[in-house]
Amino acid sequence: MTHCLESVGVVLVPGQATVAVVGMPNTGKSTLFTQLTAAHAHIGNWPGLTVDLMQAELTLEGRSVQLVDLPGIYDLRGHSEDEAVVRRFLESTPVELVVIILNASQIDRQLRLALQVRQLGLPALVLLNMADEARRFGVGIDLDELARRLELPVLLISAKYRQGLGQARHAIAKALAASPSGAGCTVLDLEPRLAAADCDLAAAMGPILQAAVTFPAQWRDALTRRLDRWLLHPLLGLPIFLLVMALMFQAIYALGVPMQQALGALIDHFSRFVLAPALASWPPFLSAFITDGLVLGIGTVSAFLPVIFLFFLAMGVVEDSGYLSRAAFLMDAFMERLGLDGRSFVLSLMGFGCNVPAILGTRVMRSSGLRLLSMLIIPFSLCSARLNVFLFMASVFFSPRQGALVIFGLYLLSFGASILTALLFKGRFASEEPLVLELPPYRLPTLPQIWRRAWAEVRHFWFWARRFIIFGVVGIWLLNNLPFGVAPASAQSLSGQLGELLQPLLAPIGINPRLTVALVFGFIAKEIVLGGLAVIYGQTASSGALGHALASEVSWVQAVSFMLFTLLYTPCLSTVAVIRTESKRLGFTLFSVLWSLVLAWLVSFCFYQLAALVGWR
Amino acid sequence: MVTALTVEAGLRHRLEALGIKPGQQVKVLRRGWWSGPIHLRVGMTELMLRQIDAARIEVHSADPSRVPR
Ligand SMILES: Nc1nc2c(ncn2[C@@H]2O[C@H](COP(=O)(O)OP(=O)(O)OP(=O)(O)O)[C@@H](O)[C@H]2O)c(=O)[nH]1
Ligand SMILES: [Mg+2]
Repeated sequence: MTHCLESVGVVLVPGQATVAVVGMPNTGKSTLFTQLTAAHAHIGNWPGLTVDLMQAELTLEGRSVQLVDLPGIYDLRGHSEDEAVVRRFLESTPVELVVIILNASQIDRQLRLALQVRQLGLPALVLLNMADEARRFGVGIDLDELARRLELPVLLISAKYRQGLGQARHAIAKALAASPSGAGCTVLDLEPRLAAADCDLAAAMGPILQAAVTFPAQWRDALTRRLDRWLLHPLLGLPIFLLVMALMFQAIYALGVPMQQALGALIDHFSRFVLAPALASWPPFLSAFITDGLVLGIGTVSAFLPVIFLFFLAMGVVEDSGYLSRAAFLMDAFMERLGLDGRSFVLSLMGFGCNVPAILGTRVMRSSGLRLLSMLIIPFSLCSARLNVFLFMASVFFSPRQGALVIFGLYLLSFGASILTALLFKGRFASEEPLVLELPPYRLPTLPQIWRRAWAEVRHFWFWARRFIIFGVVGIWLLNNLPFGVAPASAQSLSGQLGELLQPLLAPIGINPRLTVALVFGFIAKEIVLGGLAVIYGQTASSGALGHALASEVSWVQAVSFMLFTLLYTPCLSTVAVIRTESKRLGFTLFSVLWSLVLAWLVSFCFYQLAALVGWR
Repeated sequence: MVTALTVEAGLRHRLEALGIKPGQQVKVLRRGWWSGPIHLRVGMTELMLRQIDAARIEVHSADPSRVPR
């Protein structure tokens, strides 16, 4: 995913030609972009996946080119935020060439966009993508006739299966060669020009299609029809969806947790039998800082990389298959009653990977009430950074079987918190936004694609986790050891004081001073929580076995309360920042943070006090 | 067959971009549970639409036994 926080303004390099990829949502723009350049754009069978600009460099027949991947647009005059991004881009950035991507099998309606671009007088080139689907569905296109009538070069390609990419490169280079460098044009008066020509457009489309395209007499996508009969079944559709999700998480858990434990043990061995002897001659506080701080923190978290990889492989399959849009269809009736719509549900699902791109994804919504309400619920999605904390705690405090139930319960609670939030606040963020959503055909995810995706996610996680952990470890280590001369992590140290300070608030929910420090740092990012716990407890535990140290001081009831709080309070500073930039409202951002803290405290309080009443601790 | 779109401009543009415009054949494939959205096919595209929005699309039915509302 492109976890960019601010809208990336495009950087123009003098002497380089700028080529923009324009097309309707879900036509394969990001796929083409990824295939042509070394960059990694997020791909999925869901209209509206890309909501921001992304650029990368490539060299075409000796000429250096900036390729820009744009969000999909239905209409150059559309008014959702992602369409506005494209319009602003075209109005402000000089482009040498516009590559128009159309889904060949849906050329009957997508041709409109090509005509709109042509009306603007931009130098353009048409790529008809998904040649494989057009063939499968029986859509025949006479390329020469189409090119002649459009007065633009037209090529048939299949970006996903790498067909026709060579010709596409060559055609782009040729079109660029025709224009001298630095001759890029911006569009002036985009709106009025399009409005004026609107009627001609409809009139022009018919004859072109008639002359150049043959459509099948009958709809041929038997696979999609057959799958939809079950997956969208009025009664069975929803149970099937829930079952698929439950099985997916079960599989990740069953495969991932043993891997995590084996890797964790390996890293532990390495630290104890290789690293510790090697550092024996170092000053004790320094070697302790390295083994019990950095290595323990990073090691504990990196043991989760396989789980995260598996998780994103599974997400990749779901996203690429086209099932997300079906989920939107199935859940829309329910979400409507919460003041949301099917898209909010899908974005919440994406939030299980990472909240940040999910919040950016709300740009496809036009009504601000709907957008804000969606932004309010997405942070409750149990993201992969939180998942590793829970997997770890569950493995320390519970048997594998109970652990699986605890994790499942946390997922349910994550939905519960979203539902409750929506119900409470739907009155304040009302919207009447109509919902019209494409249901793309089912597509077979290809292994290289989902593999690359999962790999990019793991790299991303690892990069941030490492940074945050180093930062967190240093920070917590300092808090534990300052002011000079105190016993590490004792009540007199800064961390002890901080913990004690918050005790009146956190003691009623079972969070002791040490856990408090982890939670405070977790506000920055959940990747720190586990690394932080490793430092806090690792420093005091002689053996370095974090789990034992934790379990000897914390009861399972406290652990569950800690997990509940971790699930519900502010996910991370990046999420807060992106809510701020997307909502453009400080008040709303503060409200969102405050509400999640209040809810987290209330839920933990109820659980902890009830557990006390029942006599569990 | 669609005869008219009585919707605000923003939605009309979106519908037209998806292929729903006067003179176009649409086919209702199914309806969601709990009065959920309807599943349509228009030309080579399938899409979903909420019932209240669909109600603003005036159609004239080709097959009287299946009148899409
Ligand atoms: N069958 C087939 N599928 C393709 C082809 N190219 C892309 N896809 C699939 O089409 C879906 C959409 O691809 P994306 O590249 O994310 O589309 P996009 O145009 O960037 O979409 P937005 O970001 O939503 O505007 C993905 O599931 C791709 O795997 C192709 O040539 N053939
Ligand atoms: Mg994209």
